[in-house]
Amino acid sequence: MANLSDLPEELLSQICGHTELDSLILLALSSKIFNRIAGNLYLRRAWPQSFKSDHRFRYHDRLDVSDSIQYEDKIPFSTLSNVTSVLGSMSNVAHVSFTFSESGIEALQQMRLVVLTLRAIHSLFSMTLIFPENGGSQEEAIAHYIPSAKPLKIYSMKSIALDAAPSQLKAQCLKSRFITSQPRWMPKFFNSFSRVPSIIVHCSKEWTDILPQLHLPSLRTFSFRGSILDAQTSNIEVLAAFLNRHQALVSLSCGQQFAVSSLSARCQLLPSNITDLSATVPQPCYLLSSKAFSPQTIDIQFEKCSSPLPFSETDQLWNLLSLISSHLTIRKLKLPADSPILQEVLFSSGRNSYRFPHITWLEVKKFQSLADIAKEGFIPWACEMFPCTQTLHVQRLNWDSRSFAQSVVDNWPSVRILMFDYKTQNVEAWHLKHCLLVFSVING
Amino acid sequence: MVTLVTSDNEKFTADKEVAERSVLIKNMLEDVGESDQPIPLPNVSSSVLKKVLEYCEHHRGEPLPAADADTTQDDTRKRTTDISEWDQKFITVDQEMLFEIILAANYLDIKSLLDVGCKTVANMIKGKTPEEIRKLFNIVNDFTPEEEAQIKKENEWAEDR
Repeated sequence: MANLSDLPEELLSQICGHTELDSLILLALSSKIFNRIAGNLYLRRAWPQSFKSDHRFRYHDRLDVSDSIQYEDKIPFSTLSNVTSVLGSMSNVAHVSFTFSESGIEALQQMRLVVLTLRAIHSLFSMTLIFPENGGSQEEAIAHYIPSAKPLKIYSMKSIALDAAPSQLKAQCLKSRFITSQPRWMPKFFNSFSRVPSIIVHCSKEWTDILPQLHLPSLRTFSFRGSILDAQTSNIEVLAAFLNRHQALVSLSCGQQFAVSSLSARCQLLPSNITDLSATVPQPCYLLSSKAFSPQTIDIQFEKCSSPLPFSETDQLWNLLSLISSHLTIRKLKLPADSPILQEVLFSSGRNSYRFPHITWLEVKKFQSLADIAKEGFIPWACEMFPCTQTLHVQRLNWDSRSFAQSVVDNWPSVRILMFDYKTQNVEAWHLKHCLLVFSVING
Repeated sequence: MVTLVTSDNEKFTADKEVAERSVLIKNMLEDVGESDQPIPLPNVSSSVLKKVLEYCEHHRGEPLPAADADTTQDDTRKRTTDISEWDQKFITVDQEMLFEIILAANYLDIKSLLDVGCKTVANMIKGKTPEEIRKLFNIVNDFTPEEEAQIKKENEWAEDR
């Protein structure tokens, strides 16, 4: 006796092709084979932007959930359950982003869906929660549902607050007034993700205000990103206390949030495991003043919005160079060539008494920002300052790469690996003498 | 006239114009040329072929769909479950016959009949819950408990609204 399930898949697909969208998802819930065939078709028909050839997300690893009508490629909350009902639809999702409604009642339902969705994802790399500026009842939602998501493996979590319309996301998502308006649950919320090893937040005073309440024993990476819009910096002592409570941290990006003032107490860090530090000049000056702090990589950020400093910027930089020269654990140094102060100090004559023989990896960011005369003098200068550097990574060379490579070979014998961004041509011609040239295309 | 032999060895004669609504038969006739040899249809029973020929007879003379017409699911294709009154009456059969007609239409390559069959099944699915669909078509729920739980939870949420 012929049965629907006995028909070949080709014919089941044709039947599904004639089935209406609402019925397709219900058919998908009837059995595994229909979950695959009808579910697949449902996803592709409902979100052609996201699902192209199979039931998995076209962009492989990104799920954006938002009820905003401005973004057609986002999955609305109202139909999110349909997406997760198609088994395997989340199998390749690594990054999720949820933009919550301003309505407290809706946000409550959305938060429940977030938890249910997260349960369908076994291993999540990052999660972004976007809260509206004036959201009301999310506190209740968070308190009620987030503990359910605790067993999840989430490797990174980004939390930002929308200041206004989503179209202004890039420009104005950095303020976090929402956090201030919800001071009770935000620390509780973060602390509930006790196994999160990585958190990225945007610079704001509100974040540093809740920093003393955070306790995330698994945290290995903590990053402050973006510029300070309200010019309200926080004392770096808050950060130092946070570091002392988070001994598992290996990577720290301070952003521009933490200022060192003349009133800052001397840095007293417990032995730290931090190997990678990204910071503006005063911050590593403060942290390196503690003998317990011995990173291997320092990425110096150019501080565009300078905060008031107790000393001149030049003195700060000399101080930092002095500290780096005496911290022999530091192997990798990243310098921002677009910093005028750095250019002034590094290329000034007479005071270049520091040498950095322990630096084996030197990265020069935004090389094109150097004045022409500085570009020409860079290699002789760098060779003297960093005589044992084996890897030279130049970002945005904007210079004749062949002659630059030749100059490195001729003047800087320790360099074995040379990396240029954007430069891939004439590879064979650059294999000169003993210099092994490696070309990387980053952000190309 | 064309002679067709079914899987249960019953012979049917049909006008060539009627039989050639099947692309399969049309191609076979072209391959063998002028011949009185009966055409074997080992995948079609006499009861089903009778229905198929009834359909072809009724639609005799209608233009055939283009050879390159899409026969697979296509997201951009216009979906419709509209079926003409005669076709509806014709396809009002028990489920076993319905699926046999679909299988035969697919084997004989009669696209319009295949569409009628598939649309009929789609119409039967319309408005039914997963449990009703299972019951109607005797579908076994083969989800594992974990899969069932995932789907069930989502449904509970949907029912809450």
